[in-house]
Amino acid sequence: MMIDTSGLSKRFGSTQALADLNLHVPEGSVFALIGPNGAGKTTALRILLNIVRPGGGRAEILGTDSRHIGPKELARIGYVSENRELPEWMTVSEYFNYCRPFYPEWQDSEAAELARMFDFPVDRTLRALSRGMRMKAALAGTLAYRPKLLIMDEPFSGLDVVVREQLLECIAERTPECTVLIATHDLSDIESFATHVAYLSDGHLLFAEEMETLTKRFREIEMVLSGDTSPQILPDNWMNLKQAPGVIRFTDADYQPAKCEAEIRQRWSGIKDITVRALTLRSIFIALAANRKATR
Amino acid sequence: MRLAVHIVLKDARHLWKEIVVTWVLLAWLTYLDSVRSGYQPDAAEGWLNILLPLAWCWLAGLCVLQDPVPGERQFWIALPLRHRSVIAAKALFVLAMIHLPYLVSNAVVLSARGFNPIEYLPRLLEKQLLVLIAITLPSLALASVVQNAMQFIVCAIAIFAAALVSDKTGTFSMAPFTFSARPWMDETRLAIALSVLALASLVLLNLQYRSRRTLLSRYVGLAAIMVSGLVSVWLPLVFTAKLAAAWRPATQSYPLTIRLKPGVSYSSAPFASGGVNIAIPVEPLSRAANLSVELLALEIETPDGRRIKANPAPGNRAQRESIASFDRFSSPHADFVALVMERGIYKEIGNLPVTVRGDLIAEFHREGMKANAPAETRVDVPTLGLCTSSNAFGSLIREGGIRLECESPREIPHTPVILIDSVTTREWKSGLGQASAFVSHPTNTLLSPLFRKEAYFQLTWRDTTRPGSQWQVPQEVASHYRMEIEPQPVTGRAVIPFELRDIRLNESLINHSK
Repeated sequence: MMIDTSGLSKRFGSTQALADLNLHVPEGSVFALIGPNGAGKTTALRILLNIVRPGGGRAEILGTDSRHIGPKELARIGYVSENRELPEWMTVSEYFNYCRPFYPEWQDSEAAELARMFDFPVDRTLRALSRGMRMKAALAGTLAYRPKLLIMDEPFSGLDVVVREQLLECIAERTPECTVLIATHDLSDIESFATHVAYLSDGHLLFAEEMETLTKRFREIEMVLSGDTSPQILPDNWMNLKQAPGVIRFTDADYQPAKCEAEIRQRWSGIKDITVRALTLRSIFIALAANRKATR
Repeated sequence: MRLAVHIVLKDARHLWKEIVVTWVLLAWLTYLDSVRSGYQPDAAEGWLNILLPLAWCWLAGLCVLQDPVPGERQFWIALPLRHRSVIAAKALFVLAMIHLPYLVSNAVVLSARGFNPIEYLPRLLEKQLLVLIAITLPSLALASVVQNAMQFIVCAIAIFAAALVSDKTGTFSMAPFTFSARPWMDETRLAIALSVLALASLVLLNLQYRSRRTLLSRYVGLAAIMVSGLVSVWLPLVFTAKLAAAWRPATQSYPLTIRLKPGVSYSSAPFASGGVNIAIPVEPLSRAANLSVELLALEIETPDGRRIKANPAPGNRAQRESIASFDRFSSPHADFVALVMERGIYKEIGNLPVTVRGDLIAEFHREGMKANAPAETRVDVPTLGLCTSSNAFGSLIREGGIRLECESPREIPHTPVILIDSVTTREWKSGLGQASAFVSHPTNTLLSPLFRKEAYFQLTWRDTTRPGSQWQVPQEVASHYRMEIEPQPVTGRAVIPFELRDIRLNESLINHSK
């Protein structure tokens, strides 16, 4: 495992930022840590990088306790965050020159190639660059030393589609040699290339699994029926039940076709039609958030 | 170390304008200090002695703030480097941009004034240590617990403001403008306060760069500021004097007792306004041996056991809020314990038989090797330094004078100076440091590697044989005189308590101003 946490928790005053987080990021994966704002994603990443001390539990990153990671480990980890303050008074080339001595694996050719690919104005200061360009510079300054693990915190927020595509393409090219952990609340970006996904809400991990399993697991079920649509006792994996005259709609979080149909027929009579739809990651995210809100 | 140098170069590249400003200020100060004639600096040099430390504070703070410690968003905290490399880089920056140039500046000043810098290296290192513990170390520590330059400025101003507000005696606020009457006692107090600050700064920097514990570090800093503030404001003078005396205890026995000398009164003008002036005559002290005496603490006890504590008068500043303040001065016939007392208190106890008790500190000197300085010459005086005698010619209004200016990288000891008329052998006595001119600009030159003092003899066209003219030197002597200089190094110090019983203050009254 590139990252392994068990019972990780953190409290800021009266706010439980993270509670009993167990996360396992396998080598070579593109692991998406998703959740709404304030879910605890950034806190989790900062604990992993030893920027914030954990309140409880433990985290291992590249096989080392996160509280003891040193230059050796950090030289193999890339960290790109919208919150990271870059030395903005430097020009892009000065920034690369400044970063180079810290990383034994730094490749000038790689940096030059990234600069060419991203079309940097290398003689301009980071402050004078657009937000997208700054993020590209940060990513280039990270990829130039070929990190084993790339940790990204909301890297695409506020960027235009073209820049996002460029960045995603660039990251995708480096996998699976580079494991990627990406924290975001913007799901459309990662749906296409994440191999694993974990969902954090209010500091609690609701699930963490492979993307394929997840998308197979969630289905939206819609029934048209002539009989009674009054509420029944529902299985735990059904959520966000909505009723209208003659129509019932819900999300099944553990969809198994035969079992699901049997459960439906056991509860309602006069079923005319059952429609089963696959959900996008975005829809799953919304369904989970709505369910969380309803059950709170 | 390689990475520390890399960070220093980065900081230097970003802060080059600030570095140039401090270097220009330092170069200007170096020039002024090198060509100065006279023991007092001119306005530019006086102000530079304040501006440059402020510029150094700013530069040291900015260098830390290039990579701020508090917070979670800084670029450097996810870089693969040990935190000790960062603090090493900051220390290296301060060393290269502040301390090294200052060391070179001091060496240049010493060379220009005729002293070999190598010979006085310990003195130069002592100045470095002073700048380190008073300026750079606290600045680094303060900058390490704030997030940006604005916070740094606000905190620094708050600390200075707190120091000024709590400084009731003006020791701190007036320091740049006055010469301390009791330098070594004030230095002991300052050394204790600065040591507290320096120690706390080291603890705080260690906490911050080892584990980034900003909240705890801020508490440590705040506690240190409060402790050092309390030390400077509330530590009794007797305590610091005892420490100073313990540092250099008197080796010889001193048959020194304070006795009343009845029948002598002081009849000159009042020495302070705003209260009742009293001068209690005692046996001459400073003429009893090679010693100088300062009063430290004084208390008056009335017959019914009421005790009135008096504050020492720092320099010539009045103590409005004290019920009594005191000082000591001499006349040809006696020494006086002088009091300025609030009228209300005086009315209550003025005619009662009171006990006056207190502590004084005696500084013992040994007789040194005398040196002669003919008119208009520069001479090397052993155990003192280089002394220059010169005539300050008068104008239509001013009558001019003869001055002896001495400078040395070592502290200038108590030094009597005798001006001798080469023709008549008539003598006039003065001493180094007894002269002072009142100017409106800062006069303290803490950054100078040199100590400077002056003895001044006023020339006059008037008749100097009249009573009261013994301090004035006839104009014609300016062309044929020599000076006898006798540095008297300190051999030790002692704090001596005294008690004068059955004193009636109204018998020693000088005036009762309305």
